[in-house]
Amino acid sequence: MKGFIRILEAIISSLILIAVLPFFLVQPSESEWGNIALQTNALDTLAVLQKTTRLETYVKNNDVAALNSELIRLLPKAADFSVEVSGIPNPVILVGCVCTSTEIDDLENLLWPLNFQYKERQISIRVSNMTMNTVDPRTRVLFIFGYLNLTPYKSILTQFLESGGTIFMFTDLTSSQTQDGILNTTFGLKWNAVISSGGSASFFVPGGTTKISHKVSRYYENISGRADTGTFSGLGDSSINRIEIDNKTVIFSSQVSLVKANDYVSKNGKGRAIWFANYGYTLNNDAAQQLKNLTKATIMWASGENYKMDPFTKRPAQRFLEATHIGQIDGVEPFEIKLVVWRPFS
Amino acid sequence: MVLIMKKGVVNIEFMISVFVFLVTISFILLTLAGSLAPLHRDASLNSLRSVGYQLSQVILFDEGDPKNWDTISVNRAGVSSGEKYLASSAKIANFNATCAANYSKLLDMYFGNKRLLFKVNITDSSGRNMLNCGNVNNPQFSIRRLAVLDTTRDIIEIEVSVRE
Repeated sequence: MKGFIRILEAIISSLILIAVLPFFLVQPSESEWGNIALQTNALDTLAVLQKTTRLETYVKNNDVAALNSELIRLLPKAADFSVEVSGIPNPVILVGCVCTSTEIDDLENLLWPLNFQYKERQISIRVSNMTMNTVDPRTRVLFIFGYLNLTPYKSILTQFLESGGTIFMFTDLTSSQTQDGILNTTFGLKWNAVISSGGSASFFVPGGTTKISHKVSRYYENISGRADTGTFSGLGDSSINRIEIDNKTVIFSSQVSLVKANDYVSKNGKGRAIWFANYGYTLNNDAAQQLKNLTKATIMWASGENYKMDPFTKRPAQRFLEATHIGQIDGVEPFEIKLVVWRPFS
Repeated sequence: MVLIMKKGVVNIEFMISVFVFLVTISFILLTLAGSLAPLHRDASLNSLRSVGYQLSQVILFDEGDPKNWDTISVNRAGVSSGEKYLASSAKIANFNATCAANYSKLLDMYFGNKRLLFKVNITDSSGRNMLNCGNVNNPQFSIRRLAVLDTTRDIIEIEVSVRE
């Protein structure tokens, strides 16, 4: 009996040793050299296109066809790619207006001309009518005329913001409206009854280059031809609109914000929200014209400053690689271009 | 009954146990020894790929030594004009001449005493061959790089291949 136990022990110890063996046998992992070569190629491609100034030209002219044919020539034949540009206003800004047909006309007049040149780039604003329940997924700016309680549409808004859209609310606000659960969270507005407004409005610290107000002020300066330190009159009802000033304030008057933006509002870090105080947009005087220019500059920021340069919608494979490059249009307008590459059949 | 074991005599159970143990140990040792060869082969291949990648970096981004090197004075050959991604057409011509005159000098320059071979092909955007240095059949690693030619601002392709 004792002998059989010894044999059993030997068998058990052998089984344990064999079971432990795979731990020491590391399977060679798949080589990453293919990916390294592909990513190096993507980086080289962006660098040489920048070196020949073609990259800037394609972005400036929004020449999707030429950029794509160049990339097809320079990247490996077995790779697919997608191009994303960020940091400059979108060439086509689709504005979905939740408003009446009269308000659509007012909005188009307010933003007129809808096709214009900005830093030698052609920018086109297209306004269409929609309701909160029928938001076109291609829409970049959801423009809401007047106050609307957005709480019932929270799931639609979340989806819209996560896709990179911007909500633009054009209205004067009361205390209760800022407590509706959307304006005080997504828009980041904080009511303060003690503060007061008065006098003309101006950009909030336009010198701070990291602030949203700086970006909007640059757009304003270039489309209006006026200095970004210019002042605005007739913006907002001074008896209401007690919104506190913080780093996201774009325009302020005395102690209150009159235009305030918020970015990275959704959980995935996308989406923007803007509150813009009301003004007499049907007027045709100089003060109203400057406010219209300001609205247009804000719409340019609201475009998301992020767009694709693909001839059709592309969905990258699960494993993809990225190469980014910082370019400049005419040496003054910086933008980031991201080239996403992947192998469709790997 | 009392079983009396003589000295030097082992029972059958002990023999079976030792046999099982030895078979197991032999199996493990053989398996481990068998797995070492592919690991060594992978390590060598990765090392070779790394050398190939570094060679492409040197040719593309290094001006060479001396900076205005020619066939005679060359200590290290690179085709960069000094600006990143801008290749000098004069240095490409010099590279071609050096390669034709003394390929082994280039091998020594890049790899020292490692027994490696390389091939560099440079073509312009129309597919015209500007440089064809070395002859490597079935390269173990190839990488394609891009640069801009300083004289024509044309985009050129630099293909570097290596093998043992």
